[in-house]
Amino acid sequence: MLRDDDLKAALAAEATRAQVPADEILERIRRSGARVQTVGSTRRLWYAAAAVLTVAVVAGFLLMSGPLGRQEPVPAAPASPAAADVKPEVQPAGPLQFYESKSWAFRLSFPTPFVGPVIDERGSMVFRSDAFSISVDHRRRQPQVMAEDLLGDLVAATVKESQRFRVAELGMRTANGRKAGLLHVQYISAAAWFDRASYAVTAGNHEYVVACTSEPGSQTPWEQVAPVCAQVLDTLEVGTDQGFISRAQAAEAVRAGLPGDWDVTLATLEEQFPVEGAGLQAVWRIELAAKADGQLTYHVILDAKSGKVYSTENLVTGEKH
Amino acid sequence: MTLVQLVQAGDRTAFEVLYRRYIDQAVRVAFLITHSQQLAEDVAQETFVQVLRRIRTLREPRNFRPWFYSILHNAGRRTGRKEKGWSFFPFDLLGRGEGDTGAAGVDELVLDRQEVEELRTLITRLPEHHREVIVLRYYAELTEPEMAEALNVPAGTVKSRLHGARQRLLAMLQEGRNGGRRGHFAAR
Repeated sequence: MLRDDDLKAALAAEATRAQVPADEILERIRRSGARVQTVGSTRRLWYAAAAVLTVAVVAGFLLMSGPLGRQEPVPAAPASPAAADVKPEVQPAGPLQFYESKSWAFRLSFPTPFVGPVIDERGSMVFRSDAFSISVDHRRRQPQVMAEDLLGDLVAATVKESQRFRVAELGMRTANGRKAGLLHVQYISAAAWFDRASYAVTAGNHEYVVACTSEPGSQTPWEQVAPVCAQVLDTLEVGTDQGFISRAQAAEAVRAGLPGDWDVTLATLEEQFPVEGAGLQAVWRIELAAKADGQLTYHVILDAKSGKVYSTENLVTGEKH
Repeated sequence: MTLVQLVQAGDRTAFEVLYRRYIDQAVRVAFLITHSQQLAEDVAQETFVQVLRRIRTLREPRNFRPWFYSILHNAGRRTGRKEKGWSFFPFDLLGRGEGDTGAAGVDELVLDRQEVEELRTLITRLPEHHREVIVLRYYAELTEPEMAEALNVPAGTVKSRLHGARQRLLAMLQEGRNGGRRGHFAAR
């Protein structure tokens, strides 16, 4: 009987012979004009067809009713009601698009060592770790950042959403006593930007910091930012089936900084506020199942930069730590 | 909202993310089945074009993977048919019946590195229906129910094809062992 591992090894070896010109294929797909047939686009198609038909009927009528052979210019067909109804297609708003007018940022911090930057064949700076491959296309006015594998969909989707991101910080920092790679992407709007990050999560042996917080002095209320953070968390949770981290895993990272022996069952970003001398703080609603006391609800204040717990408040007893 | 749902909503950025996630797998799976770089690229391209056009018909985003491979499967067949003088599955059949393995009584065959290399060659010689299930199961790592959905065949058919494919490969390997390192192994 053949072993599965031998079959996998043979196929994996054979598969390496294939070239994957991803960018070229994507370009060909774009040129093909293929697109998702949204309700809006279907409706627009009908409108366009109706407009063409209307114009054709009117033109045909004018041609038929006019004196044959006369070279008078054919009057322009009146705008059809159908044509007047043609509106720009409104893409259904995904969470990221919905908040496009708001300002926010997030940061991914990965303490696993990475190699780089190196300049790849396309001229992009590429950082690699055993969890991430991040490339920054610096040739563009706004650097295009792509991160693959863990959390890659989040970075790529967000950064490429508006092209209004910039790499604000890219380098090394020390986290938990270890050297860490840091990619800090800021989303810039006309009003302000959000800065800082405060969400510590773990995936396997890796630890990440992902969050959105507000720049001190920003006029954008947190209520507009929190849902985006929720989207971040949801994205992570959605990815669980595909090997990404879950919210529970993220909460587990928060638990490490809490006093006592707790089981974190849920972590939700709730609000943030500036703290004098300490920059910006994020408040998380953490549901804790204490070993002895059962279910309690805590507010946990995290340091917006490091993700470390700043203080906690027991909402039942009012006790603060 | 999941990535697939974002694509269904017409989010082009989400599509590109999805594309980046699957293009490597798509090209390589197509290559393993067609053994042609050009065909593999064409199949992958056609697959993603179809994904764009049909993704709104996918009711359950969790089923994206088998749905995706069913599109790839069909795109492969269509693309292969367009090629003149080049079968989508161009490899010679070995002319063996599925049950004719000559491997009865063997519990587990432990292959050395050279034999894994030989196995790699032998897989390319499997007939279409066998090569496809081997690739989907052991490279794309689809489950048998997912394969059944992707190939639009009953689960029992997937199971029997997998069994037949493995038996056929085993027989070829045994033949190579018995007859020295020639024959099938020297053909590449």
